[in-house]
Amino acid sequence: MRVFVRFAVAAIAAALVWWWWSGGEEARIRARLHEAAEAVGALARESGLGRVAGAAGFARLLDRDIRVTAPDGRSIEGGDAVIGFLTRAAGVEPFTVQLADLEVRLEADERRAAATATALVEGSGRLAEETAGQELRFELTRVDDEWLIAAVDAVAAIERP
Amino acid sequence: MSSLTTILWGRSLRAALVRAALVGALLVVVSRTVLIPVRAHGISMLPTWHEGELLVVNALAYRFDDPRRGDVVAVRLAGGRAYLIKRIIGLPGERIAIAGGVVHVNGVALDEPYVVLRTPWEVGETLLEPDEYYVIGDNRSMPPSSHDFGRVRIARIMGKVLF
Repeated sequence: MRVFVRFAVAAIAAALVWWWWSGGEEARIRARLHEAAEAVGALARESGLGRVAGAAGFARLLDRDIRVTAPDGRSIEGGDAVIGFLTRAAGVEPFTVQLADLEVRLEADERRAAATATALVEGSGRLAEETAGQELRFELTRVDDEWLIAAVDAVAAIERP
Repeated sequence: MSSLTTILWGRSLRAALVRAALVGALLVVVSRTVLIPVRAHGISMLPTWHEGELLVVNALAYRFDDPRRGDVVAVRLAGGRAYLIKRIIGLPGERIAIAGGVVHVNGVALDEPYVVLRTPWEVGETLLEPDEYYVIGDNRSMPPSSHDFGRVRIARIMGKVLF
């Protein structure tokens, strides 16, 4: 009986360690994507130097060769171009972005990952009114033990004619 | 007083608590799998549904029946907790176009009494695949570029909005 209890405790401990270990990177990726969503909203709320500082903080979350594809199929490539676009677009109206239903898939080599989520835009302006929700697909790459966003693609649940 | 207590709680408080827990659990299961409450966000379904209104979606509506023209449906986004609420105007195999703000199905103008706010949209013809429906919001006063509409696969349609 005592052997059985010891075996059961060891098995539970091993399962817990495995769960913690396998969930660790996924948790970091989730945190990174939520951080990026918060940073986009902060860019929209800030002005002047605050926006510049926000843009610099946001830039460190992105891979240098990031690709962003909009719902209409247009794409922007390169971290500088993405930051430039967001900085110009920010300030039109304040809004916040939340990522709901975030699902992460880690590649076996643990150097790359993919994620899907629905971006919910809250605010009182036109953008928030017209953007009920947008499904997004992310690609992330691990550089120097930091997860960087390498691609953001808008997924069309409804295909425009 | 004791009879009132009996009516409220039955003969045993423990049994009453178990019953309440079961009813609560049943309500949670039903609200997550059958009759799903969603809150309207955005203006694309004006004036039928307004910002902040609470809607109920029947997730079993299309288990034994196909979606019909005029149904207001919930289109599933990633994860299945956020939805786009749209109206079906085109069925599989049909040709859909919009000319002067009027929807045409296989070349015939569609009567849409639910559209109150209309601007002269011009949208080219789309031929729907066997598993596709054409969905659109009731608010046609906004520019087409700001409105999510078009083809959606049946797998994305989560259910029918009841009220």
